[in-house]
Amino acid sequence: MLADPGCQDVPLRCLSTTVMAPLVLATVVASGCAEGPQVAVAWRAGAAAWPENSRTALKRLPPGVPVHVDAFLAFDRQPVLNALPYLDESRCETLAGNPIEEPVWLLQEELASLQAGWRCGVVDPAFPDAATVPDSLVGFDELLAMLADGTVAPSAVHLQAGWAPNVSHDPDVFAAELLERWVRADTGVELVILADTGLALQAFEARAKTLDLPITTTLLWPRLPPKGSQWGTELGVGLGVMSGTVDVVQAAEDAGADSILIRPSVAARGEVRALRHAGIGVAIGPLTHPADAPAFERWPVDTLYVADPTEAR
Amino acid sequence: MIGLLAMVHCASAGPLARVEIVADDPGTFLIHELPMIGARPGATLLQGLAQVQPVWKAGPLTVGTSIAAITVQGELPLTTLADGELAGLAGIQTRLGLPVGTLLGLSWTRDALWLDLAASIRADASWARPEWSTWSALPTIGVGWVPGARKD
Repeated sequence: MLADPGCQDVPLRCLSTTVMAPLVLATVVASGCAEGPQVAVAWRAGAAAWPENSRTALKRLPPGVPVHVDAFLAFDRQPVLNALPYLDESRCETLAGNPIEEPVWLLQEELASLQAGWRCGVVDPAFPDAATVPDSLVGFDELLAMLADGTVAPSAVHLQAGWAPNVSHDPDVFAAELLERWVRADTGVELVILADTGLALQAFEARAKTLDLPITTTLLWPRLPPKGSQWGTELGVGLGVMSGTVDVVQAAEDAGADSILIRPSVAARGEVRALRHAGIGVAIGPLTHPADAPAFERWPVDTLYVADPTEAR
Repeated sequence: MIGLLAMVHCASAGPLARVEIVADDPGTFLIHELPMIGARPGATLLQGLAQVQPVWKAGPLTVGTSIAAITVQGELPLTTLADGELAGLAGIQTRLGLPVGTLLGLSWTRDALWLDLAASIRADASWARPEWSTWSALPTIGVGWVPGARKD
């Protein structure tokens, strides 16, 4: 198959055009041929506007918009919506309004004590313009109740299974706790599971199969350290992709994922085309700056994860 | 592997023929990366640097060595024009020595300025996934600097 990288779905038209046209024209054509994304998901329920993974964010999402949330298990195996395996000291505080001094690991606290002891949504350094609405963490059961009674009515829930080695329950336990609750709630909403390890995704695939629950799995790639040099990781992966020592198609196939969510800093159009050719769905995100979504909308990807909820659709 | 061997050879023996500031291989920077500079300037800069390509003389061949592509190519002088020299070029593109495609084009050199217009045809094969199943073709341009060129 011979095709212009930006024009996977219309190869003949694009090929002839780009070969014949001067480079500048070819640039425009290659960009213009790409199909727009079918879906734009509200990342962390719209973190650019409201506190991430919060009640406020969930309740203010327009109906029909797909929503992304993160979940970890607390000590008592209750899933709770939070982006990290611990309470982020820059976004959370004690109920008395004091800063968090010692790390609070979700794995070491029961959900009830997490909700009774701390509140998040105080301020978000990544999104200083977002509303600050201090509130307790949202339990997964509460999210399911909101889905069941229509308080939250997304077209799909993209649930990021925040499983991490050494600071989480076993991935099989994690998958069972989340998926069995989802089946019991019977919300009728489409479920997409995201994780940054193949181990976690395969645990969800296996449990979903036993529950006869249709899910789509998405590998979040590359895997970044929860703390430390994300920049260094992205630089290393970016150089690896360029030189051919790291391959995103191989990563998705190794994880057994239906699709892959590529971080925008390492996404390359050639890799996107190879993924589509391999039959793997492609998503890019999170897109956190206003210029991101318009730039990536021209790429031939299936899904964008957008922090600004007004861009979700 | 051909590219790696050639690179080792020329790095020890071959003089620098030119430095392609905008390389024609893989040739994706202007079309794919530059339009993204507003959304991700850091990554775009990195992509640009990774495609900067020193080109070395290695006997009758030249070897371009960038992070994004190592290309072994033959360059055949075609004619001398009043304002420069025209040459044809044909090469094999590799990713760290893994052959992934070809490059065909014309170059024009005047003093320290080197320009070329080429077609880059390459597969998405990589060392991690050596499969040559998906191919792409791009028109590319190259802009280079020839060191030691004498200005008449």
